[in-house]
Formats: sequence, structure tokens, C-alpha cells
Amino acid sequence: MLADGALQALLASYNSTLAIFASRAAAGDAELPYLVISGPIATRSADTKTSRGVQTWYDVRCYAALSDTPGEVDAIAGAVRGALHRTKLLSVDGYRIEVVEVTGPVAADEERAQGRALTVRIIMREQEGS
Amino acid sequence: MNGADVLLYVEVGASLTILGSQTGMSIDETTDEIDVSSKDSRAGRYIPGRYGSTLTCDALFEDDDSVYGALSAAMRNGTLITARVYYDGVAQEEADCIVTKVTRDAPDQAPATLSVDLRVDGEWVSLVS
Repeated sequence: MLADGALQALLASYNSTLAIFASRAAAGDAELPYLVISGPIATRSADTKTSRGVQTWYDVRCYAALSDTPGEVDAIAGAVRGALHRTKLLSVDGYRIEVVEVTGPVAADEERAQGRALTVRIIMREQEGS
Repeated sequence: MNGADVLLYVEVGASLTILGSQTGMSIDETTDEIDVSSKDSRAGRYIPGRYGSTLTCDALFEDDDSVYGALSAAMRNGTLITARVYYDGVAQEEADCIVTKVTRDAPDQAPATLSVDLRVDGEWVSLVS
């Protein structure tokens, strides 16, 4: 997502990079708008008799300032969906990605920010020899 | 026995190769019943008739799986193919089979699957003493 042009145009920067935080919460001094990717929020086996696979779910939360229009946070959520839903660009070492599906966005407003939450479901299979 | 330990291998070239990403298998054996009942008795009387066996195996569909290629070729060319069943890593029995059905199922946003139906030509040959 760091290379996604739509997100680059919509998100703030943090430490000279796009404000995307892969943690429970954004850094305390981060400026809106930003993304927080948390998870996996759930993991389920996608094994077969002869191969190992996993199905995982991640949450992507989008935040924008209360002073922004709702359209701005919706645009960020739309850009996240556009970057991830059905994408074939994701890669995980040692795995082959089979399915990437995004659900949402749903409202996830907080006291000091407008929020939208999306859930990303990924099914991936271990590659032979890994 | 855990069903996960029951696996299908199929003849690919000169060797037997495991079908990848198997998710299920069932082996049916049947005997036709021949009714030899008569007026002599109220009870029905039967003798065993034709024996037959079929095998169905389900797996995730991988287009580069050599076993899928061999099964598909046997299906389209109308040739027999050897199938071997393993229990917990030990070869149990094998048979020459006709591939009667190959189904590739491709649902949206879910793994594609493969289902193969085999009919045994003759009978299973035990590989264990």
C-alpha cells in the first residue's frame, strides 16, 4: 500500500513515509489522516491432507480529522479497498496467495477522529519446499 | 484412522505420484444382488453378482499438478491409469482405473477445487502381506 498512488495522495506522512501503522494504534504524534493495520484478528487453518494453508483476517482502520468532510475518510477507505480487494500483488515469503477479499468499510468513528474500518481476508498456501 | 492419512497416488509416467492438496476421498465397493427367490420359500434368496468399485478423490485445483495432468489425459484419451491407495504412508492396494469424471470447480473468491471419479477395471490388488 505504501506504493499506492491514491493512498499517497490522501494520507499524511510520518517519519518521511506514508502514515500507515502496522500496530494496535498509531504513533502518538502522528498527524491525521492515517491508517492502522491490526491483526491478524482471526486465523483459521486452510490445510488439506497434503498441503498447509492458512486463512487470516486483518483490520485496516482509516482515520481522518473531525474537521475533514466525511467524503475524505470515505475516499481513504475506498482507496484501501481498491488497493487490496482481489489484488494479485500481495506476497508473503513461502506462501502462494489464493484469495484476498476486503469487506467494509463500516463506520469506526472515535472521539477525536472520523474512522472507517475494513476487514481483509487472505487465504494463502505454503509453497512446496518452504 | 484419521482420514488425513488415506491418500491417493496416481500413475504419472513411470512412477506413482501423490495428487496434491487432497481434501477428501471415498472408495466404494459394490456387489450386484441376483434374486434367485422362488415359490419354494417365502424368504428371498440371493446370490452375489457383479463386483464393482469406484473411487472419488477431492483436492484443491492446481493447474500445474502433474497428477491432474495425467488424470485429465487419461480421461480425454480413454486410457487406463493406475491408482494406488496409501494408509499412513504405507501402500495398501492398487488398481487399473478408468477416469469417469474430472470436475474443476472455480467459485468466486474461494480456492478452486478438483474432483476426480475413477472406476476400477477388474479389482483391487492388495500390496500388503
